[in-house]
Amino acid sequence: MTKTAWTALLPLLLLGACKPGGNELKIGVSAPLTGDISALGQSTKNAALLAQDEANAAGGLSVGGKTLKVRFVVEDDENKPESTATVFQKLINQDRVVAIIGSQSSKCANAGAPIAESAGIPQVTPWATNPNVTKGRKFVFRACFIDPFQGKVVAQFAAGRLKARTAAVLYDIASDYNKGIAEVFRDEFAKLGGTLAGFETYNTKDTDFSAQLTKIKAAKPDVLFLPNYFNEVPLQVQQARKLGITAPILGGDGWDNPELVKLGGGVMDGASFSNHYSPDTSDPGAQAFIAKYKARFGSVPDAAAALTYDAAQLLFKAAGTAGKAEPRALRDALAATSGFKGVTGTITYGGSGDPVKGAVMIRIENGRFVFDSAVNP
Amino acid sequence: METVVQQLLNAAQLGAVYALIALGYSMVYGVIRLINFAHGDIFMVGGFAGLLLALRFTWMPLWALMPLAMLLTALLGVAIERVAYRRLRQAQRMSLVITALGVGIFLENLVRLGVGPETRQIPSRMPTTPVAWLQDALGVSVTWDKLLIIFVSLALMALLWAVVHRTLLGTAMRAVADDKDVVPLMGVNLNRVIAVTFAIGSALAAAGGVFFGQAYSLDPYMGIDLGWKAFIAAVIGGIGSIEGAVLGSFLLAGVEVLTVAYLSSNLKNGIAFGLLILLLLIWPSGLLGRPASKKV
Amino acid sequence: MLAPPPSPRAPGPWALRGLVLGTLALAVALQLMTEAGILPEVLNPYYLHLLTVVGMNIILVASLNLLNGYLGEFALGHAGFMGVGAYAAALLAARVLPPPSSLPPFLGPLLLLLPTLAAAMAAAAAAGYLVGRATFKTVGDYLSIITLGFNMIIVNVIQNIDAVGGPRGFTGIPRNTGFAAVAACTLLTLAVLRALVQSSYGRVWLSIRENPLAAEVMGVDVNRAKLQAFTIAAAFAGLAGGLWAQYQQFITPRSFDYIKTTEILVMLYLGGMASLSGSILGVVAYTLMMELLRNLLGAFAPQLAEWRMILSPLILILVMLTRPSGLMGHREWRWLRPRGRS
Repeated sequence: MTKTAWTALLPLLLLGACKPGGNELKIGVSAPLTGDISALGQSTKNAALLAQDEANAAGGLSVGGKTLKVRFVVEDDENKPESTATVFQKLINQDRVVAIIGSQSSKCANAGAPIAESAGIPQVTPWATNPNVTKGRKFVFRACFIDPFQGKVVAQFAAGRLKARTAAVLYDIASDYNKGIAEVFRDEFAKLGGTLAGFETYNTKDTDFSAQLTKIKAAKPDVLFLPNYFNEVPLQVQQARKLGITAPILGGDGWDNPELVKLGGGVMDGASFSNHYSPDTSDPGAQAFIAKYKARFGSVPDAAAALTYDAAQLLFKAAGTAGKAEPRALRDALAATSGFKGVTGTITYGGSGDPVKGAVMIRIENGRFVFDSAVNP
Repeated sequence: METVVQQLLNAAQLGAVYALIALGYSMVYGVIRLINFAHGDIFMVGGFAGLLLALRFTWMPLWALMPLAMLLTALLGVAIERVAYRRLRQAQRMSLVITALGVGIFLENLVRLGVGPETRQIPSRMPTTPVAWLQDALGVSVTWDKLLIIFVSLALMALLWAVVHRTLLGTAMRAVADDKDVVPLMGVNLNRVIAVTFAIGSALAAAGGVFFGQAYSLDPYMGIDLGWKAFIAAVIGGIGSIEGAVLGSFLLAGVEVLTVAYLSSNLKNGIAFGLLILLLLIWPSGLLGRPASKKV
Repeated sequence: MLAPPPSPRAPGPWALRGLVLGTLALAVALQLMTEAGILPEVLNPYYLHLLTVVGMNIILVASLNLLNGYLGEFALGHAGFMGVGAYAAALLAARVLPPPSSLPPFLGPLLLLLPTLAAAMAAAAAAGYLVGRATFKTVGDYLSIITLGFNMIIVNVIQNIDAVGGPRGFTGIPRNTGFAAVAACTLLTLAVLRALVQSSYGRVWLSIRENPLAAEVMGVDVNRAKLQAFTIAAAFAGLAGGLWAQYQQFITPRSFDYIKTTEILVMLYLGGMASLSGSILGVVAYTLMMELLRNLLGAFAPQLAEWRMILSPLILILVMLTRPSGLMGHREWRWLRPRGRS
């Protein structure tokens, strides 16, 4: 019985396999739709759909004399490296996409990269800031800056603007993003003449930080740096304030999601973080994107959404330049990108997959993200 | 010195929540020898029930909201037992365990789809003002909500102890734990005893969830980690024993907090679990557990 | 509860050898043809990837079956052993041995695989031995906790070793494995485990499962048998880990935490206890189910794609309710049954 059942089911698996589309530009999106940072996966999906519908509403993309419809295939990678590998295999071989956007976290982007690289499919990760992701790879690009730059920006902000002499850091040791920034901050802050009063860690999914914070409180730092994700930071700030830590609080781009303020409420006011872009930007293109996103999904796009949108536009433009929807041509056109103006800034790939881009510092005031200052490399 | 007291207070709050979850594990294990892997997720659902109630009925005070969340979650616990576990009671123990695992994954993703993936917090219904006299006496930050969590949890545990040791129902539960096959012959309705056990265990977990959602946060996947932690706490204390579950929970929370405070936060899990293994090597059936006669 | 009576028509050694060699030849052909891009509609690298994952998972599940099915314990730390193997192989392949590009094709990766996989098995076996020793005094659920604790400790220790990337994971592992190598290792594992459970070792494990007291009275050294089972099971988990590292090219400590253990357990119990056929079937059914749901929902109802995670546990619960001993509990396919046993 079982045998017949399985033989009956097998063809179903084949069902999804389709030929490379003739009149389509098919792009895969690997996003964490479930799992710990699924709120971010949702905004990734939103931004991709927005870019897709916009391009199609305009009649499609003009590529080499033909008009192509854009189709995004969005898959859930659960923010797990293993699942990301499977998703990449499926997108490349089953859906026959010509490029992949994703995945968002550095650990997942890193798991997908070797697959895209060996298949010769260009991969653009919007949000993975860990340096290793693009290192030594021809087909892997990113739309964001990398951790060392961000750590430096925050350290300068702490020592310069806030005139902090001592700093404490609390970060998630089980995540490469958090650890990367924390370590760069530590080194840069020391270079600027500051001393580290505490360097504390926790593990992903911990919700009780009181032990670490009590220890930090005893060290009385001038500033507290929390380079962690938006779903944990508000709890850390709350618990810190409850324990009586009054030092100003700083963060990185992992803070940027509407959830930060929704969850934290007033307690987040006065904190600052480095980011890829500020919704306050005066750039008309960016404002148009923000308005459209807000109208359709009812929230201000976070950096992951803005970067995903930029990644999509980068690929659209590359397809136009290449004149054909073919992975290798796309890759070459992508690598030659220069002075591309996106929502999150200007992108130029100077021979590597890492763009030269600036960062902004954002201050939180009355639950709103307010532009504070811009930092260029 | 202040820091030590502060850390112990932190540990007490965490331990109280662990204990509320651990009790459910222990009770269910006691009556049907099942490691109910869905229990951490029942705790999570309890927290979300509290959240939804708090958002829907903004006027409702905590003393009404919590029992309501506990009641709803108790019903869920009973339903799970009825639908997924009862049929497997005579089957191999491990198929029951895997079913429980499946129920847990189902609950996580159901909540994720129904309520959304975001980390949430229950709007605080407890006074978060500092307890001035205690703060002055100890020189550390103590807020009313912290004290409330610790003492209400302890009160619930005391109540449970009284139910189990002083009522007819409790006697029946202990009898079932002793010998599931003989008890029905004495005219006790086995199904009812088991259902009540699930109800009480789930209600306590829901209380833990409501507290946790106010003191820390809620997300659909939180039950996995906290569930394991509480389960381990129950085992340290000796699974099946109420006093053991409570003792184990405060001990585990204490070790975790003190490891972070005085050794290294990187080693929290390593040291906590190393200690667990050492403890079990010395007391193979937990601190207050009945020694297992070879294999269960 | 014991294995069913052997079929009168259990295949002879030659038929079995033919089956093994045939599968192996098919695996090599599949890999070569897929890599060459012949018939891309059918020989799709995505399917090959799924098959490779299935192979590695079969090794994990079958070896855990040794402990949970045959020995009758409830071990909860299998992913930890896998992690030890993965990191041992990764270290050797990425830091000690020459890169595969400096060696001749085909033969090069093979030459690299042998020492790395051997190291992975040895390292994991050592970890298994330690855990086995630690469980001497405990049984039942307390043993589960000890194995779970070791799993958490292993992950935590790796997270604290910066030389292997700490929590950021180990990058830059050369890709020395493919489907053919995984298929060969899977067959080897199944052959060894089949021989073991049918040997006197297997009898001893079964006797402990059925009645440890009686086994002891009969002169069985329970501790020694446990230690052997743990060491062997861990070694094979390490083998899977070594393959995994050199296939995925990137590993993180969190990939080996109790979530992976849970996944292995689910596949094991879905397939059924004390049955190698069940281990194979459980892995195939689970992997196929997850991917089928992904493809079906993606093709017909993309807006329901996220329901995949809700449907799969429901299916698991349904299977457990209707077939409490799993799909193949305590039964074997004909070709995996012992010959001429009474």
